[in-house]
This record gives sequence, structure tokens and C-alpha cells, in this order.
Amino acid sequence: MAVTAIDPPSILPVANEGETTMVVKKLSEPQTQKVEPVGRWYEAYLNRLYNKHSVSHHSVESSSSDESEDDTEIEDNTQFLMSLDPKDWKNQDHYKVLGLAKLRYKATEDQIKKAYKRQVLHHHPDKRKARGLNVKEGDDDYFTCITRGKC
Amino acid sequence: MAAFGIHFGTCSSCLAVYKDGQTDVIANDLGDRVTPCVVAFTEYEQSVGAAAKQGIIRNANNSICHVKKVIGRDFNDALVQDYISTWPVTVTNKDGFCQFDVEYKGKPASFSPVEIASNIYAKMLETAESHGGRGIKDAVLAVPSNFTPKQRELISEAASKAGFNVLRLINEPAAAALAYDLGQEKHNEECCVLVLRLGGTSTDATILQVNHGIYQVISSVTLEKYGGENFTDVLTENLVSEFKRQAKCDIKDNRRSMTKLRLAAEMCKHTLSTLPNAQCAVDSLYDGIDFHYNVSRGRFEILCNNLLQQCVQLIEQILREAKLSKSDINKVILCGGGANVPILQKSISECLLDSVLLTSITCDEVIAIGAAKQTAFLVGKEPGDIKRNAESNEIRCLSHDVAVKVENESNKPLIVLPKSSLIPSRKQHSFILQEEQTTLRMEIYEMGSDDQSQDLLAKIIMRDLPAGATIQSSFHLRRDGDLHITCQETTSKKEESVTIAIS
Repeated sequence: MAVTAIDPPSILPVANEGETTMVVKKLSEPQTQKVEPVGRWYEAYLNRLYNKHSVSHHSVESSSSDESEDDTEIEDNTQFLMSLDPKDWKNQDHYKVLGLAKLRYKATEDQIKKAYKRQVLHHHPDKRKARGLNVKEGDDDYFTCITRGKC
Repeated sequence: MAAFGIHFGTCSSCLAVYKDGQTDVIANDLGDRVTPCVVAFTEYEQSVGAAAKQGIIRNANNSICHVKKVIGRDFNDALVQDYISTWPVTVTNKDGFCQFDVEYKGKPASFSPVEIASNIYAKMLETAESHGGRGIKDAVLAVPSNFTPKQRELISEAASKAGFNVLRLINEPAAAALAYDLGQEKHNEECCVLVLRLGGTSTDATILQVNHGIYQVISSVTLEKYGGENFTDVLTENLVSEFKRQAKCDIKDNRRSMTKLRLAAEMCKHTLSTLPNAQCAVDSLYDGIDFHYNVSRGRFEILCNNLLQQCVQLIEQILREAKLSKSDINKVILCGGGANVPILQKSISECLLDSVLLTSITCDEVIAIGAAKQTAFLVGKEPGDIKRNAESNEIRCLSHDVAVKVENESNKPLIVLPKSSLIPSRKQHSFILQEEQTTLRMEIYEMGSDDQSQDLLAKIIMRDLPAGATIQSSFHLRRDGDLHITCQETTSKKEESVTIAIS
């Protein structure tokens, strides 16, 4: 069973007058084969088979989720964050910490991920130090609240 | 979190780890890369591995070897009875399965094969912990392909009991192929592999077809009672007659002397795998008489001639069963300790001249390394996914080649989706138009089983294209089996698509 190399690209023939795109016949029935459950491609194949997005749906889905991500506005809540006590993280409002107070439980996993990333980038102690703001040592800093919020 | 692969053999077992993109075998507490599968019970303690093996000389009645042979097998099975009759340890029938009766700490005790196997796995866990500290030990176990579901269940139970988190059980030949990354790097690599496993007491040959990175067993043959131990037996016999000549004593009926000599013969055999000469020396072998003899590799090879013939016959048998010729085999993988014998490797490569003999990984370790690689693919996945993926070991694929008619000298259609392309999958090809060509006709055919017949499935027509354009087309086999084809002209983004349903 030889696979012809596609290099250089092959030339397609010219269309005849009056011809149109059409389907003539169905593909014949697929065959089922027993295989060994090992290897990278076996796992990849099954993931493709069972996961929600197959290759074709992928492009459609990702474009739609892009839009929704743009819609989500993440509230600026620096003042609120500053007021928090990191030791009391168990009682904090995690959605508010991540700036998703409006969406609450409606927030999708993607949005939470994105919000967390944004908050981390903005409020990370190293970043604030670089901006010349003062940062408290260790767990006393409000950054802890954000990391707890993600979990 | 660490990923382990375990090969639990009849005579010895091996543990490999996957870490930072590399697989390696972990040496046990003695620094050996393989651990003998022997569990011994004495007045004071229970020992596993090399210590137990050395103890066989004095403690044969309470030492259990070859537990893999009886695990999950019926007590009355002919093969089981055959093995039991040669063992010094007492084996009794318990609910139709085997049970080992030994004396432990001065009292009689009974153990099931699972408990013994679990002891060996516990030893492996100890080795694993010495390497990577505590924590969850994810493991993939390699088992012979002819293991029954019951045997698989028991092996998995033994490993979990010892403390491993068993992710999956895979077949030994597949593990061996995975160890050499066959089809893993390049997705479209195709080859036919013969995996020859020479274990301690049994040998099997398996032909695997690697296609799209997926392994399929074409044929498999097992030869019981043929393995590395037979080579040792042959050498031992020779040494016995040599001792008889030297000391005028026959030790055949003295079990202790025979065990001593057998261990020495095994050492000799291992030495002969790497060196041209080996010294066999046993102090006070029998009646205070020392034994010393020099075995050359040449002599050993002459002794093994008969066994080598059997191995070549096995290869010929499997080729007959698979209806393949010697030249169809692209690669040969040797695994199992018995395959270390140089003359054996030589006679196999002489038998299969056209194929590449893969021996870069030490034969005893191949299977464990393959299992560790598989663990690496599984670690971090949902437990449900892992289980489901292991069960559904069936794939759907195309039954015929799908081709496109192109203009070339031979007028041969261009195969875009070869037979047994997986469903779903996707391929992309680019086509070009000739200068001054502004229309195109793409005819999609399904090729018949013989090369002659072909059925037209669909055609795509595009008009008003810029001359000399390039066409990007994607062939997408959807999950439901439908084939969706899209052609796009690269500059004007003009598109035409068609969907061919599956019957």
C-alpha cells in the first residue's frame, strides 16, 4: 500500500462545459479493526473521537468563543482587593476578587481562566514592585486572595 | 507524581520510569536493573529478589519462583500441573486455583499466587520509592498478549495491593514496539514488525502492523517451555557430565548440588553474552569436591544449536500463519532476557536478512521501557478517559483508498486518504493549475480492492479562477464517517465544497 508523495503539487484537469459540482455515490462502509491500546496516536485518536470538538467544529467554536471573551468586561477592583484581609480568604467573594461580580455563577470556565490570568498579570507582587508600589511580605499581601479565588 | 512501567516476567521483572521526557530503568537496592521474581520464606523473614534466589540452594521448599505461570490459571490445567510437578515447593488446590504451602517463621503458611505477585510488586514499589520519593505511583503493567481477562484482573489486583496506581494493562509486544517509538514520531510511518520475546520459560513471536501510529496484531504464536532457562539447562547438563568426568561422581539426583550448579551455569550464560569465555567455579559442589571449568562461547553455541533451530522454526511458523514472506518484515525487536544470547541474535538476523534488528535497548528492559512510555501518555488524564480508552480497543477506518484524478504521465490517481485511514481524520493537499487554466475538475474516486476498478464518488468544479492558481484542499473524514472536501483558491479565497456520505 503505497502513499504517493504530493511533492511537487499535482495538476488538476480542466472542467468540461456544463459540468457542476455533484455527489455521485456514497463511500463504502467503514471497517472496524482491533488494535492495541498503546501509543500517542491511539490516545489522540480517541480524544478526537470522544471530545466535544472534533477538528472541523474546532474552528467554528473557537471563533464564537473569541467573541464572547471580548464581551466579558472584567471590572477593575484594585480598591476592593486592597481592603481584603488575606487571612480571611475563606470568606471572600471569589467572583468579586476575580472581577466577575456581575457574571457570578454564569461565568464560564474560560472566562474565569481569563479573568484570573488578567488579575495575576496586573496584581502580581513582582509587577507592582516594578511599578514602584509597596508590597507586603509573604502571605500578608492581597495577591494571595487572587490565587485563592482561582481554586 | 511519577510515571512507571513495570514488566513482571516469569523469571525476572523490570521497573522503568518516565521523567523529564526520558525513560530509564531503575536499579534495585543491589544495583541490578532486573529483579529475579523469587519470593522466599525462612524461619526469620520473607525475602524477594536476588537474596531469595541465592537462598534457593538451602531453602528450595519454601522458595516460590515462576508465579506468573500459575496466576489466574486453573489448578487442573495441564500446563499448571506440568509446572507444579517440577517445583520443589508444595502447591495445593484451593477453590480450583493454586495455593503455595510453605513454612514461614516456623509455622505452616499458605499464600495465593496474587499475594506472591503482590510481594514482588511491593519490592518494585520499594525500588520506585528509592528513586522518586513518596507520592502516587502511576504505573502501566505489561502482560503477555495471551493473558485471559481473569489473569489481567489478578495481576492488576496484585499491583494495586502493593501500592501502585494501575492506569492500564498493555500487551508485551505492543510495549516493545512502543519502546522503540515505532510510528510515534512520524504519524504516517508504516511498517511491519516482528516482536520476538524470549522469556525465561516461554517464548512468543508476534507480528505487529504499525499504521498511522496505531498498532495492530496480525498474528501471534506462543511456544511454551522454550526460553532462556532451556539454555541454562543445556549448559548445566554439560557441566554435570564434565563433573562426572573430573570427579567420577554423578550429582544428577542430588537436588542441592544441582541447584548450585544451575546457578553457576546461569552466571556463565550471562557472562558468555558479553565475553568469549566464562569460568564456572563451584566450591564443594558435591562431597567436598570443588568444581572448576572453563566454558567458551563456541562450546556454548554448539550446545545450543538445537534450541536455535527451534527459534528459527518459530519465526518460519509465524510467517506462514500470517501469510507473509520474510521480506515483508521491516523490523525485528528482540526482548526478554533470553534474547541476549549473541548467537541467537546472529541466527535471527541471518534468517531475516531484509529486516532491521533493533537491539539498542537491552533486551530485558525493552518491555518495561515501553510501558513507562505509555504511562507518560496517560498521566494527568481523567481516570474515566483512561479506562474508556483501554476498553474501546477498536477503531473505525476506511475500507478502500480514496483518490483524486490528476494529470500526469502515468494517469495514476493520487491517493489522498489511503485505506485504513482513521475516522475521524483530516488531510490537506495542494494542487496547481496549468498556465492559462481557469477551470478545474476534481474527481474523487474510491479505489476497488484490485488496482483496476474505481468508483466515482463526487466531483468538484470550479470556474473563473486566476491562471496558474494554487488550490488548497482539505479532506476531512468526520466523526460520523462522512467525507467533507473543501477546495480553496489561495489568492481569491474562492471556495467550493462537497460532502460525501458514508453508507
